Amino acid sequence: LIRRAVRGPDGSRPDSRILWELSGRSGLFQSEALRAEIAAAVPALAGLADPALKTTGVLLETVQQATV
Amino acid sequence: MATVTINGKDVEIGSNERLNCIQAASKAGVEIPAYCWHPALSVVASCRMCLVEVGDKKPDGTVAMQPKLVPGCQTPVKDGTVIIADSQKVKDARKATLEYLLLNHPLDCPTCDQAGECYLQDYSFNYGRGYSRLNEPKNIKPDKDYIGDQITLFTDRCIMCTRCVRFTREVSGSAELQVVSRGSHEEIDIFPGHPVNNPLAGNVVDLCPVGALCSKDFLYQQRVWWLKSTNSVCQGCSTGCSVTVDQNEDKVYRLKPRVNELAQGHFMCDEGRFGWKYTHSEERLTVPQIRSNGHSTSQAWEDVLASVRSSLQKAAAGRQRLAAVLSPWMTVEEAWLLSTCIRSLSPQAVLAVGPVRVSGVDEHFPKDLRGNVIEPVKFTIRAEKCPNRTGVQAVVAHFMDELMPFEELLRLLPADSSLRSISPAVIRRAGFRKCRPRHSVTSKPSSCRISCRRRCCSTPLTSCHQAPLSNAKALLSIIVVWHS
Repeated sequence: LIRRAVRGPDGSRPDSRILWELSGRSGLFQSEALRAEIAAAVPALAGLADPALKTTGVLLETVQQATV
Repeated sequence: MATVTINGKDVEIGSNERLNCIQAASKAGVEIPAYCWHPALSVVASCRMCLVEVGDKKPDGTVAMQPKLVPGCQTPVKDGTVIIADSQKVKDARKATLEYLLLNHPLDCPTCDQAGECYLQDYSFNYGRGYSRLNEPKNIKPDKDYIGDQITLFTDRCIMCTRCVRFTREVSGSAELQVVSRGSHEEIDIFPGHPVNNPLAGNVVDLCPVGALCSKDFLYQQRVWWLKSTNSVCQGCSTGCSVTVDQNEDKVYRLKPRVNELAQGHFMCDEGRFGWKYTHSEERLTVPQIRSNGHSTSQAWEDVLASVRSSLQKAAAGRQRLAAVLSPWMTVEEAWLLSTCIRSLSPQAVLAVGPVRVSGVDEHFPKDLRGNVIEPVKFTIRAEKCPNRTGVQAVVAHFMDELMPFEELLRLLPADSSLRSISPAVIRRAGFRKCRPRHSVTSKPSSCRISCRRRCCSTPLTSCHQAPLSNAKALLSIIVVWHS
């Protein structure tokens, strides 16, 4: 689940939860499962499944080349 | 592979690694205490806290030790180096060094901001003598509140490690700090009229091991042992500095850099360090609002989200087109959720990355007094102020054959669209810096589609401040519905 630093003000919701519910997904927002889903679907973001993501992050070379 | 022996324990170091005794010992799990040494700064070997016994292992297996203790920070290791950091000789040297460093140090730990994370406290406890033999009055030096807009100097706490001086010379390049006077009268000071106000000034507070340099923003706000740290990433710019957020009872008190060689190294800029105040802004919206007939009314989350989803489903089922503008402030997970949500409603829905805020040009450090960059660059504040453009682009690129710039999406919309009236320039100006989606709230997931007389409507998903953001229509993530 999310390791947030502080809770938002009373009544507010994290963006992730808003979008999770808007997507019609059931249960609580699970970033771990979501990252695994993205890593499996998007080759450029396969690094999201890397455990190093939780500490120093991972370099996504293919993403760096993307430009608008 | 080279082998180094530390306290009788062998540790292997890479053939390309250039380590000193402190770093090699750290690999073996042995702490060699140090004040003046810092991995990102030059070596001065002035504090004498890291004195160790060092020798060389000969081919016949004998060890030739150097006759005197040597500073571990200044002594490189090589294959066969033997380090002894736990002998009585080393322990006595540490006790003597600590006693010397504490001669003039005030015992004001109860009111010192550094207490709890102070290397003088820790090393005194682990390696110190436990008492002082000084009978004379301490040399009291005046505090220097003028040293910088964000920092203050408690001069008598300083142990003259000169980390701060070296930082301003080697990393920021601004060289505001210097050592004045001699001997026991040495002090850190600035040249009159030139305070430490460079964009990286706050780092000298982190570098100070003893609480001499303190942050005015954090001073006397909280005892550090009450703070809980959470690893995070700064959202100030696309450098994406690794940081820790220190909070207590859901109130943020400070941000500190977290060492990450892949990102920013050891430091962070003041813009990121002090730029978190929006988190507790009174202007934050806490409940969703629906605008109808020009008036906004608060609604329950469940009702609003159901209403938005139902409206989008109806639009997708009819002859209307859907588009989502994904904010470059979103996380990859959020971008994925919004993209999959929109695409599940309408497989032809357009996805575009929102305006990318750029402010000036990349600012590299160190810089000389004329502003010229000095190579090698040690820190960069990026002009691009979005922390995750590339991540969001990667998500959008997965769904779209071609990345669509925000401006092009605006051209797709009907001429009388309300969204078209918002130029990217307006959006860039209107408070993006202060309104980022982390822990933010849906502001107006509105059903303005029903009340809107125009053919196009927009559903802003994430904007956490009411004013001036909403009024300026500076939207972060937007869902657009229009007649094709």
